Amino acid sequence: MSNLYQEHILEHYKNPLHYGELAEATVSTPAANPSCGDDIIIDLQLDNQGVITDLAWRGNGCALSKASASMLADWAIGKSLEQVQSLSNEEIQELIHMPQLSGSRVKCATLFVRALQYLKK
Amino acid sequence: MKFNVNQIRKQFPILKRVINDNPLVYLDNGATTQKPQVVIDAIVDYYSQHNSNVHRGVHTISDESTHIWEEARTKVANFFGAKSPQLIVTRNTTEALNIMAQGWGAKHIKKQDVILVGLSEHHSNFVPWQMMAQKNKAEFRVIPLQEDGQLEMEAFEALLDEYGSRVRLLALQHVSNTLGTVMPVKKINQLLKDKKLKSQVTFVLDAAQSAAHMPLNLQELEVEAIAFSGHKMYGPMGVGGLVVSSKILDEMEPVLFGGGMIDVVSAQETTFNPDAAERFTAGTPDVASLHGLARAMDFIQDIGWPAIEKQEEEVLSYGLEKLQELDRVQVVGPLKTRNAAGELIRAGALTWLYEGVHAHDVAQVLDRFAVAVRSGHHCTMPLHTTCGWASTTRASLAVYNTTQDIDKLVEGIKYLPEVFG
Repeated sequence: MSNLYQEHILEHYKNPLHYGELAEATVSTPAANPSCGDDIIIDLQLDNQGVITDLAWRGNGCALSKASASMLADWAIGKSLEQVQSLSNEEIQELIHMPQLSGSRVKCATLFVRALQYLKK
Repeated sequence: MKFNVNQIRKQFPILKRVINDNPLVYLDNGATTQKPQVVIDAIVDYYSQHNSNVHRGVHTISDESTHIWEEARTKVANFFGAKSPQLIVTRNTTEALNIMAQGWGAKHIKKQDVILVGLSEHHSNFVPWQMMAQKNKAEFRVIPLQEDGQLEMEAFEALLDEYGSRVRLLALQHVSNTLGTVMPVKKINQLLKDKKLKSQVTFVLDAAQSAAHMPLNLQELEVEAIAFSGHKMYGPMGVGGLVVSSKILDEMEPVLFGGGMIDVVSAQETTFNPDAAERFTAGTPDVASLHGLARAMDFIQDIGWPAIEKQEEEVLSYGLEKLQELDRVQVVGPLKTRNAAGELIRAGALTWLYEGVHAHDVAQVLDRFAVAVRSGHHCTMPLHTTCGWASTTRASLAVYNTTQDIDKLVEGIKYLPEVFG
């Protein structure tokens, strides 16, 4: 754990990317992480092929959940919604450069993707 | 014997652990307490020397095992001022409360009846009653709290006045797992008596957070049922119980069917064992764990309640004081352990909000200092939602905690700005 708060995590936590609202969202999704009371809402703009052309997210959460949402949001633009929805926990940890999270913290890191999974594949 | 906290600490092997180069400061006792050597030894001894299934075995070790089981049942029931048949052994408080709801509530809570619970109830004393109310078309009402987390007695009285004889069940936490608030059981009973409702309202006490911290006696508390978890009172995980009054025991129906709990079984019908101790024990029980719990109760009684209560109140008072001195920290719940009348209003839990840092991150940074605390909504979402808290951080005490543990906690909290600014 001692290296959980690495520089890139703290940087994204303090200055999250794509944080806020989209004026013209195709779809929005509420979600929660029931064990700690975190929440996140993601606005998406999708094209006809289901590719994410823009997104914005907002919510309350710990440093890890916010930092991972920031990194994953940045990565997701230009990908298809389905591709983001089907990310495995391992892939998510790789994308946020935190391969060795404990079980309870994996939930924080994957909140962003789980929120998207509420939208039908 | 004079109380010596270092002597107590020596009995807990896990307290010798070093984590992240720091000696473990265990302040997560509300989730589960650590186990003294005597409990660990009892379990090892059971499996090394006596393991055999209870009842109906004529060979020596089955007989020994049966004796161990019966002795433990009696010990645990007596601990709560009850007799062995009044104890229904469960896995934990949650199971005990569910059995109360299913085994008693299903039949005795009727359409139009009213169930009252407190706002800060743990989900395990909230959801089973909410479900039962839905199923039996009863009304489920939540008693609000004062700003400091104590039950709002005026609102409670108003609910009693509003529903009168329709009130069938009152389910309350003895001590709040989130705020540490101590429920004024005596005052509540007095109010029920004043309203002439005492005899018709079944009072269920969730003692998960009080059983390790203060004496509990079914008659003295004047409640119909006490639910508790062994692992929160120095016993092993996986064993707890529901202690009920004789009246409730008579009205209670088994919810688990199978071996041991029957009288006569035929293709046409089954009758249940007239001995309640057997009727509510379907299948092979966890003998080793109940034995371990009985030894945990010996451990508590050897120290004695006055010494336990004094030590824990001293450390909690110190913690309340120290945390309130810190910048960005807001302690939630009562700010003192006693009210102006000298009555105990807070025990066990020291809970706070830290401005600008999520509770998970507070707990994670404290782990660097080997300070173990819990963060989240502590299974009290109705309370957190009402108060507008996303999550809180909780340090919770046991008899082995010291003011030095609080100093370590404070040191960890002071380090937070180093990480998060």
